[in-house]
Formats: sequence, C-alpha cells, structure tokens
Amino acid sequence: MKLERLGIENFRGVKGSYTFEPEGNNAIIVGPNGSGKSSILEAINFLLTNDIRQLDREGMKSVRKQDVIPNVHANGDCVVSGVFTDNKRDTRVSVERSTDSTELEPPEGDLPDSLQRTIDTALQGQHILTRDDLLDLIIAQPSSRREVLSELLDLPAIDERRLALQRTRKALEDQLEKAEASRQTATERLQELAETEASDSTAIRKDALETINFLRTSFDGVPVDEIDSGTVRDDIESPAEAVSTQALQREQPQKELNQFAEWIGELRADLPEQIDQLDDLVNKFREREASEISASKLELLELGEEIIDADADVCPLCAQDWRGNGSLLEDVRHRREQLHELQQIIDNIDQLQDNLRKNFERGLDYLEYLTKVLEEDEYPEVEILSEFTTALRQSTEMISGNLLGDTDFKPLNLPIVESEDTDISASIEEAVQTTNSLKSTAEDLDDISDTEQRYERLKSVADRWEEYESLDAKVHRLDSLVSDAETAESAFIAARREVIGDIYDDITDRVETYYNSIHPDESDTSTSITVTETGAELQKEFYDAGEYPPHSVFSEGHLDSLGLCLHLALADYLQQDEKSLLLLDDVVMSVDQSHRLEIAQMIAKEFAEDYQVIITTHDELWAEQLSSQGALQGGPQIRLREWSFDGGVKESRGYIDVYEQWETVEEAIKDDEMERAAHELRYATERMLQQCAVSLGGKVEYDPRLRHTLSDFKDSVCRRLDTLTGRAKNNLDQSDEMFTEANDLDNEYGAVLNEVGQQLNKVNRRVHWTPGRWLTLSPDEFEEVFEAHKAAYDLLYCDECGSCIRYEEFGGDYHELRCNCRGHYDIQWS
Amino acid sequence: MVDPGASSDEIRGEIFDSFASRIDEDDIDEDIAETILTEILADDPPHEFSDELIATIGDNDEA
Repeated sequence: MKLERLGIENFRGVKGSYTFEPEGNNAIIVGPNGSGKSSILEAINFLLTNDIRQLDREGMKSVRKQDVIPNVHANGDCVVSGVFTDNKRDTRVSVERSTDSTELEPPEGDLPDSLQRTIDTALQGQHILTRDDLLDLIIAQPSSRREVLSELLDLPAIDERRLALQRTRKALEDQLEKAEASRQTATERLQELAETEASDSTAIRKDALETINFLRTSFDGVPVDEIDSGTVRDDIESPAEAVSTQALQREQPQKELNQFAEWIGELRADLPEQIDQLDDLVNKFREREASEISASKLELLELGEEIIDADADVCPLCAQDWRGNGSLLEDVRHRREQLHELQQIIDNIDQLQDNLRKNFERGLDYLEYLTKVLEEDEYPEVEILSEFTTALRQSTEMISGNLLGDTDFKPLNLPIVESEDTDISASIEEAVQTTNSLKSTAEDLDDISDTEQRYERLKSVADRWEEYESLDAKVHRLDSLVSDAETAESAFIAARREVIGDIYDDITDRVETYYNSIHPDESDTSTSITVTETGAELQKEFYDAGEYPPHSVFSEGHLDSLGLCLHLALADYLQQDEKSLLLLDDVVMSVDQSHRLEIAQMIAKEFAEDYQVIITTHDELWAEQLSSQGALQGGPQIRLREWSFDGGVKESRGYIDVYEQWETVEEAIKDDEMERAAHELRYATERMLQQCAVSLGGKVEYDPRLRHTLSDFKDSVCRRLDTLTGRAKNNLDQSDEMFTEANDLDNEYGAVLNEVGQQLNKVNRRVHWTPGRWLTLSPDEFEEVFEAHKAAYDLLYCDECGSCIRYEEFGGDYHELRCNCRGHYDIQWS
Repeated sequence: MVDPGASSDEIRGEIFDSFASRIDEDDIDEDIAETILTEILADDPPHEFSDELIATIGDNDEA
C-alpha cells in the first residue's frame, strides 16, 4: 500500500504537529542537516514497526524507547498516524500509533492483507535504508551476512534443522568414539587372556577359540566350534568336583585359616600385656572411687580454681572458713589434679576395653567360618576350635559389659585367660597349636589353585569374547550410522545451498543490473553471493583482477552504490507480492555527482513506478537529478528549513513544479496583478532552466555561495544543447528523422532562449526595485514576456509526460536526447 | 526454483523436497533415511535425534 498522508505529533525532532502528504506518490524531502528529514522517515518506520532505526544500533540496549522517541520539549502525546491506500485507491486505511501503547490502532489483525504485508516487510527492515546501514551487508562477516539474509528470508528454522542434523552427527561420533575405546579395552583384556597379539576380529576369535579348546581339553572336555559363555564349561567338572571335597584344598578356607593363624599369634603375644594393663587400670579406678573422689566434682573444682584467690580463707561455695593445711586454692588445685588423673584412667579403660572387644569379634568371625567349613571334613581340630570359640564368645560378652560398674569383674577371669598367671593362657596356646596343625594338613593336600584358575579362565575367555563381539558390532553399527548421518547432513546442506543459492543468484542478478547501470564501465564484472560452510560470501569482480570482498578493493563511493544496490535488490526480491514503501535516508553521501545521476536514473527506471519511493537528502542537486530523471513520477519535493527546538520542522518555499507554476502566473495575470505575475514567472523560468541544465548534464560555473542566477542556467542549457545537437547531427544520417529532429532543435533553441533573455530584461526592469519608485507592467507588455517564456517551455518540455528534455549516455558509445516518454524528443545516436 | 518473494514456507518446502530426493538417491539405510526424514521434516524438530537413530538400528538387529 502507499502512504497518502502522515501525521506527526511530538515525535523526535517534530515539536507540535507536522503533516507530510505524499498522496501515494514518490517524494523527496530536501533540507539541511538537522531540518527533520530523518524524523519524517523514522515516523513512518515507527508507525509500521513500533521502532526506530537508531535504537537497533550498538550501545542502544540501555536506551529506553519512551525516552528518545517523544520530542523532548513537547507537552502533548507523541502520536504518529498514517493514511494508506492501495494502488487502485479502492481501499483506504487509517492507522495510528503512540508511544503510550505498543499496539497499532486498529490492531494489526483488523488491517487489510496488503497493509499487513507492508508492515511485515517493514518489520524485516527492508523498507528503509539509512547511511549507517548502507555497508552493513557489504562489510559483514560471511556468517553474520548469512544470518541477516536468513532472517530476511525468514529461514532460521531451516538453519535449526541443519544444526539438529549436525548435533546428531556429532552425538553419534561421540558415541562411536566411546564404543571404540571400550572395544580397545576389551581387545586388550582378551589378548591377555587368550595370549594373542591379534587385533582384528577374525584372528582374535580364532585365537580365543583355540585357547578355549586348549583349556577344555585340559579338563578332558571335547573341543567346541562356537564361543558361548553359557555353555563353554558344559561337560567339564569344576576343580572342586573333580579333585577334592576337602575344604582345606580350596582357596578361601586356606585364606581364612592363614588369617586366623596370624590373628591368634598376635593375640597370644599381646593379650597378656593388655590384660595386665586393664587389671591395673581397674584397680586404680577402684582405689580412687574408694577415696570418694568423684569424677562428677571435677567441673566444680575447675570452677573453684578459677574464682578462688591465692590468699582466700573462706570457701566461696559454702561460705565457711578454711581450716585446712596450706591455702584453700592449693587444696582445690590438688583435688582437681587428682580428679584429672581419675578421668584419664577411665578414658584408658574405655579405650582398652573397646580394642579388646573388636579384636575378639574379629577372631570370632574367623572361627565361625572355619568351624563351619571344616565341620564336614571331620577334622579333630574342629572340636578344639569350637571350645575356643565358646571361650572367646564368653570373653567378648564380658569385655563388652560395664566394667567400672561391675565390682566383680576381673580381667584375669576372662575365659580365654583362665589363669592367675597371665603369661600363659592354656586355651590360647591350645588354639595356636590346633591352627598350626590345620595349616600342616592343608599344606600336605594337593594345591588346586592352578586348576581353579584354568577353570575360571575358560569362562573368562568366553565372557570377554562376547563382550568384545558385542562392542565390535556396536562400533560397526555406529560407524555406519555416522556415515549415514554425514550423508544426510551433506544432502541437507546441498539442498539448502541449491535453493538458497538460487535465491542469492536472483538477488545478485538484480544487484548486477542496478550496479552496472550506475557503473556502465564495470558492466562486464559480476557480483556473487555464495552459500558456503561458514556463511554467505559476497564477492565482486574487480575489473580483470578477479573476485574479492568488495570492501577490500572498492572506493567508498563504489561501496555505497553497491550497498544501495544490494539493499534495493533484497527489498525488491522480498516485496514481490506487495511493492510498497522504499525509504532512502541520505544514502548517496559518498557518491560523486555523475554517478548520482546514474543512481537517479536507476531508481527512476527500476523502482519509481512500482514503489512509493521517499528519499531524503540535504543535496539540492541530487534532488534535482532525481526529479529530472523521473524518479519522483510527479511526486512532491518537500523543502525543509533549519530545524529549531521551538519551531520544530518547517517547510520553506522550495520545489516548484514548472507546469503548475505557469498556472500560477496565469492566475496572477487574470487577477491583473502584473508584478506578482512577473515574480512567479521568474520562479517558473529559473526552475525550468535549472531542471533542463541538470537533465542535460550541463555545467554551471561554480559559485562558492551556491547562489546561481537564472542566466547561469540559461547559458548552461544553451551550451549543452549546442554540444549535444551538434554531436547528434555529426553521428546521424541526414536522411534520418532523428537528424531532422536534432537539427530543428539546434535551429530553434538559440532564438527561443535568446527571446527569453530579451523579455526577461523587460520584467527585470519592472520587478526589481529602482531607488525612488516601483515600475509597473501593463497586461499587454507582460503578454509578450509570458509568450516568450511559454515558447521556451513548449520547446524544452513534453506535453505528454511533463518531463523536460534530458540527455543519457550508455557506456560512452550510445547516446540519447529525449523526454521521458520519447513523445516530444527521441534522438538516438552512436 | 522458488519464485522471487516466495514465502518462507515455500522456500522450506523446496529445500525439503530437494533434501528428500537427495536422501532417496543416496545409499542410506532405508529405515535410517525414513527416521531422518521424519525427524527433520517434523513441524517441531527435535534438538537432536541420535537416540532415535540408534533405536532404529536396535530394531533392525532384533529383526
């Protein structure tokens, strides 16, 4: 849809209200820096997107919208409203947005599809291009460029699917790596068990099977063809079954017996001393208890020692006089030291009691196992060990009780001590001898550990082979899966590259078309955006020197024009369904005058008709170039004056439409206001000749004050027409109609423009103030002036399309002198 | 080839069609290919689908 009218209130640089009325046409807004041009474009942007471009830039995250969008000096609400119409002007929609609400009014859901599409395009950011954004895509890293393009094409979901494939492939690779490591560990175990150095599956299996059959044969088993851990020991008796039923031939009983022998040996050596210590400690404890030294008084004595002075003679607790020997403090200290000693005895008894109990329990564990496991073998030693077990169990129970509270307890009464003479314990001695007897018996029996090992190894080889076989199969499956995942990922990348590559080709075709029309000398060079692994590579052919990233070889002006072309190509590609707004904010700053003319022609040719192009600039000449080349398509030029805080945006009398201006002159004549008519006539003529000078590419002598006069433009047009008609005639056949057309123009322009000059002198004498009086001009006198100027207009402007005569050069060897529609002039030569 | 201004759905559809035909042409296990296509073309694609692929192999083994 096209913008008919934009109402701006208290937005950015606009204080109060300002109305911009392009009426669905293209428009150019001309004005000096800070005059409010960008505010108008940003108001359109805000209306459509609820955002402004400045806030998209780096360092703006902390800036709040509501702080910078409303005009800082305004009191009223910040509101932007717009009226949009479709191409046929059948549909007219009014929308409004204020900074007080994030919603558009009416809501987007209630808008017609065409305006919704315009908003969607705006949300992609391709409706507006500013100077700052111009090079974003040119100098971006390939990955960032791809990201931006992907966002523009709304394809992040595609990238997410590719990443899912990539993550899947990597996860499978990780699993494969782990499976390979596990298989390597299993291989090494198997190599050790089967005593082989083979590393491939077939050879490992062969060696493992040979080992298994060797072991089976050693047990009188028959060889097998398959390795099966469940059946590998079938038809083979276990060593226990095959060799002996005696427990002492087996590994675990032997181990337990040896450990018991070690334990009882230590008990015999250490117990007498431990019993002596315990007996001594118990006796000391009982003596202290008998002297009424109670451990419970220790805390009281410690407190007393702290608070009693050295010379105190009254007890602070009972308030009685101290009558003892020595000082009260010394007595308390002495008694406290005695109590400390008693506490130490108690602690030592507890520690010794605990050690004995644990040691006895350990011995009981051995004895219980041995008496049980040896019972079936009917060794005579078992009875002795059982008796010792009973004595040890009773001793354990006694030593676990409250030793200090049991006044009958005596360590020497423990059943395993059984003697007043602690140096010799009969039961322990007997247990030691019995243990030694059993060890001798075990040593006399055949050793079956080697047989057991072989028997176990037989099973282990089969187990390890199955583990290896399972891991080997897993590795092969994962390997195949990784390969399939890689293939799928490559296929996806290729599919994406093919489809998106086609899109990029389409876009770059457009870029080339636009760029080459601006730089015809580079028409043989190509531009490419290529999908790569890392992103989207942008390359531009630099004459015959190959392709490079543009910013590595091109000048600033070339880069700006390429950036503009890329932006326009993207906008055009994306807006196929709904060609609406193109907002260009001061985008040709670095482009020279002649190339600006080419850009104006390109915009006129490619975009002016289908899009509503709204351009801002501070450059009057660029505005003229756009207008003269047809980029405005009859749309308005808005001229803004210097902006101020108090006044905000102000329009100046700026753009003059030559055709309309004649009507203004005629109205003044009709009203018999000759002086006003003369003034308006000067405007019309000056504007007419200025436009023609620009359209023809005429040179105007440089004026540092930039105040060119009407004569400057007239002289420029004359010189240029003289040159161009001369060239046309020199290069055209005299029989050619175009030669005649050029010749007629050549013959006519001189007289017509000369007459304009003559008639202007009449006006000048009357419209310029002469000291002392104003001169007047009669209607008859002015009629001649008017006719002379109208004749010039008729010569230089086309009645059909309203454009003035213009000159175009194509690659230096093809030239045209024509109006936009070619109805008035169409002179072509090579 | 998609038309200029094609919607993202149309572009996605074109990429998926091209991907599916490439998968068909490639020498990938049929069940694996089917799993990949199902997962990738799902409306809400999984973060990754290695477990599903391994399960596919497991099913084959059991078969």
